[in-house]
Amino acid sequence: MADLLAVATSNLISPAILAFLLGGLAGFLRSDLEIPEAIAKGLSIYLMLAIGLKGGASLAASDAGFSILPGLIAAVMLSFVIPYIAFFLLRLTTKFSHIDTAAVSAHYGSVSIVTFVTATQFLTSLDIKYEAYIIAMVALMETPAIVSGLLLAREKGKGGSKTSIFQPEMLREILFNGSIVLLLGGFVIGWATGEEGLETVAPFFVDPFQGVLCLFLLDMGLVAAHRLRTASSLSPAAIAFGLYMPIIGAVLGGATGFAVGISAGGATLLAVLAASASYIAVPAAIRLALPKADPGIFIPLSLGVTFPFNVLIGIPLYAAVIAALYS
Amino acid sequence: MQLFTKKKIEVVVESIYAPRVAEAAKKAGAKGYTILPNLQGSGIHGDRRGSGLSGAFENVMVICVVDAAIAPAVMAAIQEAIGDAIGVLYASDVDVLRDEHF
Repeated sequence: MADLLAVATSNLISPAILAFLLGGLAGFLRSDLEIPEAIAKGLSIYLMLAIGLKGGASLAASDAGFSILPGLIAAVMLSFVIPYIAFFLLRLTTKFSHIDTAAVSAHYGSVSIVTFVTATQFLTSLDIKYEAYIIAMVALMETPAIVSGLLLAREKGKGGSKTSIFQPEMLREILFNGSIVLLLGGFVIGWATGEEGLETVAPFFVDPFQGVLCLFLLDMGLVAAHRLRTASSLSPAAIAFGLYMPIIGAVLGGATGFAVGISAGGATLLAVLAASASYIAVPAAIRLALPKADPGIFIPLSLGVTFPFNVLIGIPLYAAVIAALYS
Repeated sequence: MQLFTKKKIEVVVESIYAPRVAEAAKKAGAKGYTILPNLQGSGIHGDRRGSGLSGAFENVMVICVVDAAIAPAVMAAIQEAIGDAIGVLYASDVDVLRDEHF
């Protein structure tokens, strides 16, 4: 395993990860470097559609059929359950209010798409294969955690959230937010048009993917550094949670992957998904449903602590441990 | 040239709340609104700036110009729509040329 970890670590020295570190450094040094908001948004649209297309096309090329169902159901269950574990641990170790604890829990049950994309590139660089339908899991795992988080927030009836879970505006936000539409939409297009369809758009959606990921991670480095700088209000117990919760999630994700019989690469990606914390779908839903929840807690934790941890340490660690256990 | 004094209501609010604010303003009698996207700033809720697809970190400004008589009602409706969300709401006097537009 030590060898694998060494290989894994050396592979982390990729342009994308170094771009992330560069962004982080620029952020800490308060450089005036800034990726314009509209470009950052454009890059994330590109990444999500590209990953959806590729996943759909490789699913079409495989003969997976209905064998993918147990994996998909397990992924949804993971997203439902993780917030309850996170909630329990936060109640035990931090002094967050009930609402804030529920809000943070929802973030950790949901997933970070960029962490996932970084992990797929990492596996590809090591020549480790994974199941195409894991990409469908990404879209499926975004939402259940939001429902769990809102149920947790409601349990004590504080914060006036009793009636707010199933407002139409809320449902639209959690079911049809941009990232889900792009991922699932891209997946369906990729699946319907197959490898041939992907070939026609490959010069745009496949070849430049790594470069776009570099730019996006550069921006993420800037954002993460910015969020971390403003995270001084977080207690050591909260920061510790942002570091150990991904490991708990990874163990659950990896074990689930093994239980449903997916490959080591697939189990690694499921571990990464369970380890990651959302910063797209969940913050928006939480701001709508639980406006009393403090974004000064859940945003720095998710973006400033857990995201860098997963990208820099978590991904190679999970990959190495799972590869060792599988072999 | 005759000028007409109106109230300009400006609301800096989380972008995900902008549709609620705009709808509340129209229901309360505003004939239209303008939204300035993607703003940055800082206040009692810390720094606010956009990032990626999520509207959760981004602020926008909703501007509407209304007749002074209905301004308090429009502002009250907007405040109700904002609730506990992050935001700043204020009004000021402006002069317009085309009275019938507001």
